[in-house]
Amino acid sequence: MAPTESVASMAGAEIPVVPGAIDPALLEELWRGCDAASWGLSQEELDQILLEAGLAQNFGLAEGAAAGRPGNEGLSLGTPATRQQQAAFFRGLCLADLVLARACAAGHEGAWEHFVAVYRQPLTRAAIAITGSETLGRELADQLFGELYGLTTRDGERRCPLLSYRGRGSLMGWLRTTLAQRHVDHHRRSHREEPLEEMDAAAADPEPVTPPAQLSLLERAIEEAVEKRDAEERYLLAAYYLDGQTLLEIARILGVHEATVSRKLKRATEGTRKYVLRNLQHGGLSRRAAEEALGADPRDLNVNLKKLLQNSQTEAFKEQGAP
Amino acid sequence: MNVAMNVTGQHEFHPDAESLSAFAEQALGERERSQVLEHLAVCGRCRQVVALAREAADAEASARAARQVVNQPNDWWKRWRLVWAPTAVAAALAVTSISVFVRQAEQHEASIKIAERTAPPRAGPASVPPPTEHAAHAPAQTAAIKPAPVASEAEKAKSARSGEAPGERGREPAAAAAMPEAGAMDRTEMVREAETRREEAASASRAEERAPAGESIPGPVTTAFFSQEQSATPLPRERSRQAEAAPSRLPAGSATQTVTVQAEDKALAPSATPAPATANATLEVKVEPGANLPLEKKSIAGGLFAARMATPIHLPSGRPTVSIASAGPRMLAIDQAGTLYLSEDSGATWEPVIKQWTGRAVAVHRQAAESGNPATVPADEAEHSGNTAGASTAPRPVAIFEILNDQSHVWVSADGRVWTAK
Repeated sequence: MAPTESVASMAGAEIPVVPGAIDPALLEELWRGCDAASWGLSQEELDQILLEAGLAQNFGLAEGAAAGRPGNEGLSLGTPATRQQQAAFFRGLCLADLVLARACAAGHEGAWEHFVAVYRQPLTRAAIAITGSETLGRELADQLFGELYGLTTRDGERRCPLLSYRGRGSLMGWLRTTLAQRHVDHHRRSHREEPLEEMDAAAADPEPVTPPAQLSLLERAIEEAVEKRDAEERYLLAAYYLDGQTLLEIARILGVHEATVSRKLKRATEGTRKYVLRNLQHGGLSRRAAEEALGADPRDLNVNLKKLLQNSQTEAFKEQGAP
Repeated sequence: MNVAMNVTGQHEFHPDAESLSAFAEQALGERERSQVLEHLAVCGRCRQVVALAREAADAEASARAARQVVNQPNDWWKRWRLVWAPTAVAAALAVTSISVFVRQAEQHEASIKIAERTAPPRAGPASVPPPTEHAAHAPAQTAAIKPAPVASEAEKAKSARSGEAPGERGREPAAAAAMPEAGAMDRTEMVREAETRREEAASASRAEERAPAGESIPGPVTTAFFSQEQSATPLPRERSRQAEAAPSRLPAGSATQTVTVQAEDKALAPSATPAPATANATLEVKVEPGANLPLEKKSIAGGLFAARMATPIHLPSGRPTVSIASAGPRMLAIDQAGTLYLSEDSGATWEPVIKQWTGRAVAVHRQAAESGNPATVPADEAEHSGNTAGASTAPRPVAIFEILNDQSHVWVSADGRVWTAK
């Protein structure tokens, strides 16, 4: 019986499961459904892998104590998940990829052979696409492969990045994101080594024509307006105006249509402008003076917003360490 | 640190690769997705990571799609598509060839029928032997053809002056004996042959132009018509030397076949009659009946015939001509629609003939019928050939034209205007 069929057959079953354990019948079905035996894993090892993945996310029960925080494991389980919840959780995982990753991390040769055969070439192509250079791409892919194989050790223990994969997305997506992370981090490290004079020269601002008092009032109004935007609107503003991404690229990341991104972006821009105008009027400026402070052309507002987001991004990076 | 930056201050670390990957793959729950999105709103590094990972995924998807297109198994009809095109072309060519062949065969059969109907009965040795006997008569044919260059001594001398072999000139008249067969030739074939052999005919014509006036050798062949006769009648006086030479080599009692070819010679022939600006000369070659000409001579005859037929005839209907017959300046022609046209001025002007037959006329022929006394050359032909003396004294034959309709019925006419069923 396939796992999906078993899940359907168990609909409505609210049999409590022993905390910290997976229902044996479900485990048996998952064992038959995945290729764990092909990769040299025993049923006990699979049980351990599944239990670890389930406990890390409280079997999908997001309202759990620490389920919402990525990377937080060993959460306290208030209410044990039922067999149905466990089945629904594992159904949402890329279980085959998870088993393969754990088998590779455990050093099973069969799993590694399969991993290399399936993922080596796509990983190299992804690295080339990310870096934009075949040389850099191959170098980046080889470096990641070395790490995945467990060549790096920490405290005398073999470390494999595949252990951090928990099956929520595809293994290939995880590999691509890992490559992108390493490339961006490497680029940022090398970018910081550039002389500051060049950066300052490139970022020279024109002389402000707005009086300093109004400028200070305008900055506070913009900061508040940006803060009032929700996460998605801020992401849209930053990705579009700061990163220079196209509407199509943003739409693909968010999984929506390009027109939807355009509409939301326009709404975010207009909402921010209205909020800034209202704040300026609350600060003592007349409507006409407030509009003059912003500038008749809305594109002036965009320039100011871009500067603000750039400062925010710079500050954020200073606080971030390597993952 | 500004206010907006406070939002990012909550994240002291970046989401791991799996969270970002799951976010890009829409695999996160609503709550976790909003958290990642909130981080992305203020974290350029993670936005860049997500954007690059997405870009790589799109590139991989495009490459996979391209590979699928390349590795897509060909359907059997797509594999056979390369075979269909040449097969269709070959089939079209085959059908066209067959239709042309059948059409030529039909025309050939029609011509044979006409010949059978119009051929005068021959008695004794004059009868044409069956085709199976042709091979046995080959030596006789060679003997008959051999003196074909019945050229006079003057002609031989002229050929010697022009560097031409003595027998070459005689090939054309001799080859004209193949005209009954050539009559069944397709006009397109004739024109094609005319193109390939026009040079040969022209060179022969140029050589003939240098011949002195009064010789029996006709001048350059430039007319668009010809006439042919099959009879056992005596030869005209004008060609007495040729006639004397040829029968002397023939076996006794054998029938003779006379082929008359009319040609125009502006330079040499005396203009006895004012009507056509050009005078007509007449060629006659005697060959043994039933004897096949050698292939070489046949082809030369075809070239001469085709050279004559190459001159275009423009009928008032504008349609191509399918059959032509002539007697002197009088010409009859049938166009592709079956309309019969008559010309009294050697094809300069044409007028349609009122239809007096049934069906569609497909062929027109001329037959020399005896009117009391045997004769081979009609009076008008004799006039145009400049042989007025001979024409005045010799018995005058009556030229009879025949048309054949598509039902193999024959109508005859003496003047080309009034037709009666035969």
